[in-house]
Amino acid sequence: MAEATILFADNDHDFLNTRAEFLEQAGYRVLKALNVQEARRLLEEARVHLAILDIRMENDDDERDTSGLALAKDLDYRCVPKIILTGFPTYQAVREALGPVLDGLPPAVDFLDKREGPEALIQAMERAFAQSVRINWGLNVRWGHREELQPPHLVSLISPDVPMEWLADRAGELEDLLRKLFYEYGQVTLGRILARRTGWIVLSAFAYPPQGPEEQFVVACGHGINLQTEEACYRSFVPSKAGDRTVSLTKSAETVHFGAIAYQLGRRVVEEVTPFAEFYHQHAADAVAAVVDDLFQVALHSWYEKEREERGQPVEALCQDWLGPDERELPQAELGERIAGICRAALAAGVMGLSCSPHKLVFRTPDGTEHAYLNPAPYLHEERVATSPPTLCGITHGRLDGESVLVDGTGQTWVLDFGNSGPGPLLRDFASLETAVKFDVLQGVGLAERHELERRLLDMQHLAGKVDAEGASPEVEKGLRVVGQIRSQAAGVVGPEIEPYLVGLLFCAAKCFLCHRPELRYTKGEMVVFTHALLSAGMLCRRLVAWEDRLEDLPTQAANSLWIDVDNQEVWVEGRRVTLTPQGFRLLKYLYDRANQLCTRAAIAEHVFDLDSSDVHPTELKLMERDQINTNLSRLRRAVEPNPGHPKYILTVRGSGYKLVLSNVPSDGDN
Amino acid sequence: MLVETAFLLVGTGLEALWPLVLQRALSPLGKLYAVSEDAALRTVAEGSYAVAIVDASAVSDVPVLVSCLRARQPQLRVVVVTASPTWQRAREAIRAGAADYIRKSLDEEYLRSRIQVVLDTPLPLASN
Repeated sequence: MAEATILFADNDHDFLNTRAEFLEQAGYRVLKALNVQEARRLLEEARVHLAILDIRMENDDDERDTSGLALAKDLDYRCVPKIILTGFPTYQAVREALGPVLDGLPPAVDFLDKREGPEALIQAMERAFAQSVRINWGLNVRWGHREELQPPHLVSLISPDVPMEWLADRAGELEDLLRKLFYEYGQVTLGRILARRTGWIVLSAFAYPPQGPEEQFVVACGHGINLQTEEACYRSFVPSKAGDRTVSLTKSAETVHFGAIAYQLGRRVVEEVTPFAEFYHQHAADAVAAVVDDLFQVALHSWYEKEREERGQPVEALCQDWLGPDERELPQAELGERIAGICRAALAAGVMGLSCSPHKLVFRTPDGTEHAYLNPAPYLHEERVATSPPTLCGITHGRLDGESVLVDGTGQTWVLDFGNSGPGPLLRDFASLETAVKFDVLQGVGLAERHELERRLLDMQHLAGKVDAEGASPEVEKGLRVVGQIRSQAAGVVGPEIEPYLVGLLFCAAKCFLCHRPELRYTKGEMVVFTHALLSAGMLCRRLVAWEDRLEDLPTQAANSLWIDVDNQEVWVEGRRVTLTPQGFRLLKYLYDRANQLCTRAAIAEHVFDLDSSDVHPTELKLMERDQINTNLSRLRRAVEPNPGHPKYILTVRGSGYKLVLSNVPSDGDN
Repeated sequence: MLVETAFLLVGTGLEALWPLVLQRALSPLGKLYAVSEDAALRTVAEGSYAVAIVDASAVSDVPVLVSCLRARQPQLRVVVVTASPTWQRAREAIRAGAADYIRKSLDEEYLRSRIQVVLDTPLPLASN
């Protein structure tokens, strides 16, 4: 066993040194601790395979001293097998050490009396290494042909803050982890890093049993607590049967600091899978859109069928949980200061255009046009973006992004990273992936283009609606198409209503820009992303916020009469914001542009409903006109008129057509 | 077919004082049956017992019996009960796969609580 390292803890200095020397002569590396504190420090910092602990680590004369046994029971070090070595053995101590279990494991794997001698200790250690430590020292580990897969580099990806003096031990511990994970194999070859974020990486791995064919895995590796959470979520929430898209958790392993889970992707060739972000950049919009369809219609379909329920809370109340605990507790003033800090940092980094005041965000496009939106600080915590319950909930993945979705060589998708999976609003996965596309995946796109992207997306009145990509730059057009596809899939699961979805996007955007830390400096590219997220939040607030909060920003006509905000495609009637279908909006706009003028039925039919009279029999045309116009006028009046039975804005001119009256005095006899 | 939790006392019949105390102690949890050491292996293979309670004073080789019981029925929890516990025998029994090693007592609450803990605890690793 190369480098097998033992922690030997005993408060008897002479005994410790003598026995440790014996073990070193037997080929073990021994780390000595004279007290519990030192033992803890070594367990925390060093690479320890097996611990030998005395029971009375503080006072040999005190039969109540079980400090060593308490250390053995510490869950933080449960994955290090322990042998109790004591000069005061009792059957109660044996029961405590070997009997009760911690998550299925006893606190210790063996119990010895010091008087049994060093040979008995060696035998117990050999048993422990064979049965409990379970590191395959003979496993041939090929770390890939690229430098980036060397253990120290992988440790620095998982734990960037590891002090240099501990790096070698942590690298060795990471190697131990793989030797545990692939215990039954003769060789494992690591392929490439497929995904990574702080505390977590995903690698492709190819394992070779002593006899038998190659087996392919996707290995998630990271901080122990993250992997424990991921495994627990997988077992609780991932559907057991997703057809041939089942991502199977085949094995897991842990050390003091790290955990690893090996997944198999059905019969897929792991060498051919790429992360979604990479796929996005390498393929055209059509292919990416097809992958989006596959993700939600196939890979995640069985997830959304589980435990669906309508919860009696509005979506904004449920989305609060998406923010971290620190962000949720931020007072409004501090949130406002963080937002102002982002604007200052953006300016310092050369990202021009966005400025803020306590209530507004203003974005100035390169042509000098100013667009006013809302500062999201007052709205994020006070639930002033108001939607109506219930909210459709179920089991969601919880963190769909460019890293957690893999695409194989046939365009089929697989999801990983289950640490955030669980019950929640079903719109979460869609909002999460859209956010990832806009903020993480989109590259080489300046803030003005990102503003344009958001503006076009906010034009959508329904999730199933069509996104206007005409005239957009190629990258923006691609982003619009892909996001449009995501929203279309969302409509199929949560319904077409867009406002709850936009609330979800608001919280996703907030989570993104709240990652900005004022004490750090960022590159221009990083600041573009933060600024985009902030701008997106401001634009969403403007779209979502209840009219009472925005009236001060609107012209008098919006409060007293009927007003159309052309820029934002909004309709206000006597201070009330009205939502219209695309066709309804088109009809109203036509009348609005000709306010107080007669609009004939024929003109409306031609210009609003595209009814071309040249190819249609007049009688049939009349019928079509009547149906289209009557139906849509009726709907429009129901949406706009304070009293649809007695309209005051959209008046009928008998025998001729209609007119929109922008005064408070209705004409007599027109209805 | 057994429909309630079944416990099996190995080595001693139910006529003596202590087994009667044990029977009363376990009655809220299930039903206690008794069998000789010779019949124990066959009995656990044919029945569905949650816990086997081995009377160490009535069995020839506790670790061997524990090991065989666990091999015959891996889901079975085995508790060794003894009037004169020693740490060496406790170690041998638990190394062989026993879930616990307790002192023989007439305290019904003590006995019931020990068996309840065993029922509530995940199964130990199989014997070496």
